[in-house]
Amino acid sequence: MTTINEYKILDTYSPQNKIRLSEIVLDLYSSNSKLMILGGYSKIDYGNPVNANTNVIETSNLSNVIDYNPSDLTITVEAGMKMADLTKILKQNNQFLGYKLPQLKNSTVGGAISYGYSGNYRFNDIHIRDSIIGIEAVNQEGKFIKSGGQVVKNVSGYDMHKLFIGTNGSFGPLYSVSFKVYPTPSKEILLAFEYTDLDEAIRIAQKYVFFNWNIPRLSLYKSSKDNHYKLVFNIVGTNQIVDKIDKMIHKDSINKSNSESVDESYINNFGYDIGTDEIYIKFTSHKNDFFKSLAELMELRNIQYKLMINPIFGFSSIIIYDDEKSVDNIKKLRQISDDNNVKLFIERGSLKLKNKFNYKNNDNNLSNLTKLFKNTYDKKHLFSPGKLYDS
Amino acid sequence: MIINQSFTQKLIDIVGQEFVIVDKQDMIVYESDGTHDRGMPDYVALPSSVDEVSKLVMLANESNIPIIARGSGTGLSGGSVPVKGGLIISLNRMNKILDIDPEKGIAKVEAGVINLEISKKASEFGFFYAPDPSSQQACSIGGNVAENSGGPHCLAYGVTTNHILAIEVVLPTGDIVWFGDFNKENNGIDFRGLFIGSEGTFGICTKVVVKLIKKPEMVKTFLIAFNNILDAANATTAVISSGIIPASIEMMDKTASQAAEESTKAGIPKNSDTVLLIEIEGFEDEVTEQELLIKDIINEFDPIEIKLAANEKQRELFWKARKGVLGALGRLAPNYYLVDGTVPRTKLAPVLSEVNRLSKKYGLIVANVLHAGDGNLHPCIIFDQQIPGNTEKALSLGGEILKICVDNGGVLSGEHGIGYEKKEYMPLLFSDHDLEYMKNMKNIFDSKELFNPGKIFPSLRE
Repeated sequence: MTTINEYKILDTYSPQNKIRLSEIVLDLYSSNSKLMILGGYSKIDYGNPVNANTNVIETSNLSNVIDYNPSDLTITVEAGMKMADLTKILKQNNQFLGYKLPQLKNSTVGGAISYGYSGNYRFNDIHIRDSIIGIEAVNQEGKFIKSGGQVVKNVSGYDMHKLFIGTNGSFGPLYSVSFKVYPTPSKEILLAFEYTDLDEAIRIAQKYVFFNWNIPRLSLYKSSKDNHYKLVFNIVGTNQIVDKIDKMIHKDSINKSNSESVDESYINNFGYDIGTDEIYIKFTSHKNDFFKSLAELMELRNIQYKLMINPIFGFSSIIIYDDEKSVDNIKKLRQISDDNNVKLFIERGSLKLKNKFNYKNNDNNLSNLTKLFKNTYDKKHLFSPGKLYDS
Repeated sequence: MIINQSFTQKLIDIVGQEFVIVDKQDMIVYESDGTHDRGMPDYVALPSSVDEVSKLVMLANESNIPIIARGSGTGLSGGSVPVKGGLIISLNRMNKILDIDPEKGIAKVEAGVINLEISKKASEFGFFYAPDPSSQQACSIGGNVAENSGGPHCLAYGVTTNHILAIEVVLPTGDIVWFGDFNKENNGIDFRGLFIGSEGTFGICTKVVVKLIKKPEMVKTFLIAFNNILDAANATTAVISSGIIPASIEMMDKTASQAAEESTKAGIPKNSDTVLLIEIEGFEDEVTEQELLIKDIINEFDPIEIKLAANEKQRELFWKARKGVLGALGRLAPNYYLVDGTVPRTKLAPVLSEVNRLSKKYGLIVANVLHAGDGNLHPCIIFDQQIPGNTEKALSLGGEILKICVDNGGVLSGEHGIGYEKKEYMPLLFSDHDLEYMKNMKNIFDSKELFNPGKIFPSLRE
């Protein structure tokens, strides 16, 4: 890769160890060189675009386990570790993070945290921000700073690690991360039903949205068949409880047909495994009745689309083609989301579309605070240029 | 500070005569929290709305008067003690539950609402609010936000920050802002997450949107007596390692449990050395299955007795023994100093041995009360402050215990906060760079350092 969002990659550095990472950051920062931190390059097109030529620090060589005692239900790893490898290590001890991230194969620990995405499978509503209990990062002077620790309960000082979650590397590279982990439930099944009546699918979904411990994922998405919707449940727990919920859902769903197949990878990676001609739009809300108007609009306008609704977490996503109608379509979607007090974000699409349609918080206090944070912790605005805001 | 009549009048103009206190006698209740730390405020104001809070903040800011937010004053780190005088903004009058939305599973409340009141109201809709500090009958949700409070049931559910979706905050400028959203999806800096646990040093939280949890179908509570504390600690680790996450695993050592028994007659065996209180909850089938598994695991550690609460009344009695244990320890000596450290769960046994050694070294009784499932220790040092030198001894012993926690991979506070009490220990855990990074964060929010001064940072860094 030689460019990011049409901007040149100047030099690429691959530190082999912790000390080298700090030296590179210090060198680049001292010489006023912009720098991006990249793990598996899996989210490069998401969020705000880079707005300058930049150096890249690759973290792929920083991929070791630093500390793991399964009985403590915590693990500390280097930030360049692939999420897939972390998942594998935990699995060997019947443990997991509690959530399944999109693009697990390429995504790294540091990248997943930097983008703050938690996917649509979350045991007990655990978001990535809930599972990080500590970090070690490199500041603008190349010094290591620590926040949190390796214990599950900790109120010693400020939760500085929150600054690194979802801010796209704007405050410097993470070196290590400590996670709280969970025992893998003894049984898990995947149930899927198809409905022609969207109302019924939504009614069934709403009945189960509060089963946090036993239904880590409840997704409603548009089937490949016209006017068909699939409702997918992941059910976890002991044998008895999984069977019980399975029976409950079957009993509740009257006008449904059992779905023949579920492509779990499609659900896991929805919005993160798409074609270059597709636009991925995310809506964040807590409005249960919003989802229906979204689907109805798309049907009414006869648009080819993919829809994924995650009522447990209050977000839904749409993928549409980037064609001559897309501006008009997004305009309508934005109108609906505004009417319903729902926030629309184009996660992947052109800068022009993002600037035109993405929800912007107009609270001056929030934007001033954001700028103060950036000016304090990245005085020269060299980390992840353009990602936090177009400075 | 000399009382400034014009400042007092301006306070009265904002909140009304009835809700401004400047008389020293009347302010005594505001000079302390649940610790031995003391500091007299110069003024106390009790606003009834966010607008009044904002006006008070702007007034104090213009006059360079320190501002200390206070809820119910149940804190255990000196967090709300006005160690540098100033204006206490007491949020007790802002105590309305504004909305419970059962469809979304959220509640919007004012910051002065008592923690338990949220669960009581939510229970009408089949929900509860999970974080349950032992003081939940008295502590305010705003105070919980300031300290990122925990509680026995945080083992399964997580601490305050995991349950707060959004907060309304009055910044040191007097501006009112909302941090967070009604869901957890990310959009920029998580100011909500940074603010929670900042101990009133960034601003004042005035409203809170909390996530509610559906009440479980069944709850079962065990009271298990052991011959020694190490068996109890190891049994805790074994239960967690088995893949079960109980709602809570609480531990009391001999001193604590016998005091609790004297006070509550909960049925703790006289010959026991340590007791565990384990609670499991969920669907009936699941709980029944876990009950058998837990009994099997516990039996490997030679318990003296395993008691299962036969009914809700007995369950409440078990919890009364645990949650009321600090009061019960008052029978042994007039004063106590409650230490709060966390260690990796597997380090509980060696750390407790060290605490025992230190107790002997100092000649002071230490009653151990623990959120054992979380590795959160509360060694309670019992002493009589009338005996010269005893308070200093207790504080020194507490400091040594915290050092042992840090040496074993742990931290200075699991749920009470650093506050005034533990600030001098911060360099045990954090480097100069870490502290500078934190201090910069404080300066971003509060460049004049008026909000809750004298807290968190060691004296040399203030």
